[in-house]
Amino acid sequence: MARRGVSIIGIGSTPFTVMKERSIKDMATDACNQAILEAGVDRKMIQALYVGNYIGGILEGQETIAPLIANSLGLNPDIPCTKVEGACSSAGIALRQGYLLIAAGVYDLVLVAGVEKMTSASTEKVTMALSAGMDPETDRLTGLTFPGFFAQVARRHIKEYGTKIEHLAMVSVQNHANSVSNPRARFREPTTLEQVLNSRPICDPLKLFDCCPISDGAAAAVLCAADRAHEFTKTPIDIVGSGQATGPSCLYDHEDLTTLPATIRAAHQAYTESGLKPQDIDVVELHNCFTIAEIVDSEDLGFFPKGRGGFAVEEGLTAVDGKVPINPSGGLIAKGHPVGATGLGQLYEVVRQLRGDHENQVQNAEIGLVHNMGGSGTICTVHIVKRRG
Amino acid sequence: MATGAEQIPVARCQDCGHYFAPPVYSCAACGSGRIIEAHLSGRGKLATYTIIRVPPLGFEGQAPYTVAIIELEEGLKVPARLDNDPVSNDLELFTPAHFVARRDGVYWFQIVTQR
Ligand SMILES: [Zn+2]
Repeated sequence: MARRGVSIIGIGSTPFTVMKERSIKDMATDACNQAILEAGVDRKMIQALYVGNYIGGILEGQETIAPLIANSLGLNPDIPCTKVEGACSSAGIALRQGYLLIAAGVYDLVLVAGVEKMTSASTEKVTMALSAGMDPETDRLTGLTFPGFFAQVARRHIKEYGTKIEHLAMVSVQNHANSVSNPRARFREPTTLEQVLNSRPICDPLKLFDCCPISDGAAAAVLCAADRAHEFTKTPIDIVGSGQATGPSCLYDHEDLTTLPATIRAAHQAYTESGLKPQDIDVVELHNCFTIAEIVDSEDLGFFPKGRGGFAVEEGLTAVDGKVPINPSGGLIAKGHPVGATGLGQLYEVVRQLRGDHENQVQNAEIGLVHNMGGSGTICTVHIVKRRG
Repeated sequence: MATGAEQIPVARCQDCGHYFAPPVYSCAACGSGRIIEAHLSGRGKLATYTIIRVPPLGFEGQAPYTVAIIELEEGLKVPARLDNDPVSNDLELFTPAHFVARRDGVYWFQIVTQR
């Protein structure tokens, strides 16, 4: 089926850091206004708003945020404004909803956003809120947490493939080095292998520095029909592939405890639609909520054979100047993970890379991939984006 | 120390015979609504595990505790808590484990200590 092309014509983002004084409405309004101003569109021309948010209801007691944000921005009251939720992939889903509606010819201009406010709550409350993305009748009853989910994946990956604890630590060190130059990142200091290895155990074998920090933040993008993008910008970024797939709700239901099949399926959709292969990708922002996730994702996205993800990091293949630059922004681990905003924060970083004006620039990046995941590997979105010309 | 395993209650589809970790409300393999309780041997091996040191609300008094996945000898994988105190990172994957009891919807297993 022939679909209409979709382009990104404006992006916006707050920092992903501790911003206790800022509300959900404040942060989302800021990111959306940046995207609208950059796109140069009249805000009354926007035809739909999709907002990703995961735990605003639990932590802030705040629901119905899409119209709240739309009214704050002064959007046209004729348009639908809808919140979407898919745990940590909420913003990736918002992006995909906008993409699908433009691709289907329903709209020409859609605003997509993601927002989360987390740092004002206690760690226990945040851990409990995040666990809302688990099956309450099985996994959650055992006292499992999402860090615990990935810790179990890590232990099995280590056993099956000889992945080393040092490989996990190297992922953390590389992400922290990458975020030093990123003004949107929560952590701006480099870290050492020793610091990571000696950090406090959270859920063995994962330690504090294997885990992403909770953060506050919002990110947004204005999407436009590709054939109209020239009306607004000289440097549109085209979305050439989009995928979303579903995986098991619990780790014990995964056939292979070291693979997240939703990633494989969503990536397959995006690669097929774009006609591109893993070798064609110049820059990647993938969902490294934990160090082991970066290793597993890099395999499931097809960049390395199964079991080689950790060794690839050791060999420098995923560094900014490596064969497959992964998370030059610092990723979720060092840039921060305001869960419902992350997918569009990742897109923001990749768009800046493709425009050639990122603070940690990959040389001559033309094609980028964004991988956003939610729940127990339960939801995954993959988008492939490309610079024109 | 565990010597024998208790039989473990699981869910089974009456139509296609598929086994599941309960609860299930219809068969995800064939769509049948005819789900019954069945019992398996309760013998399995440790597929993976973690020690939770930062628990969610409601589990504060229990940390640190071990959450695991047990692969039963019949092939079904189930979520579990390990009945091991103190917790330990020295447990080797694929070590035999025996079902002990199901309490409040949670399967408890014991590692079979080799002599
Ligand atoms: Zn059946």
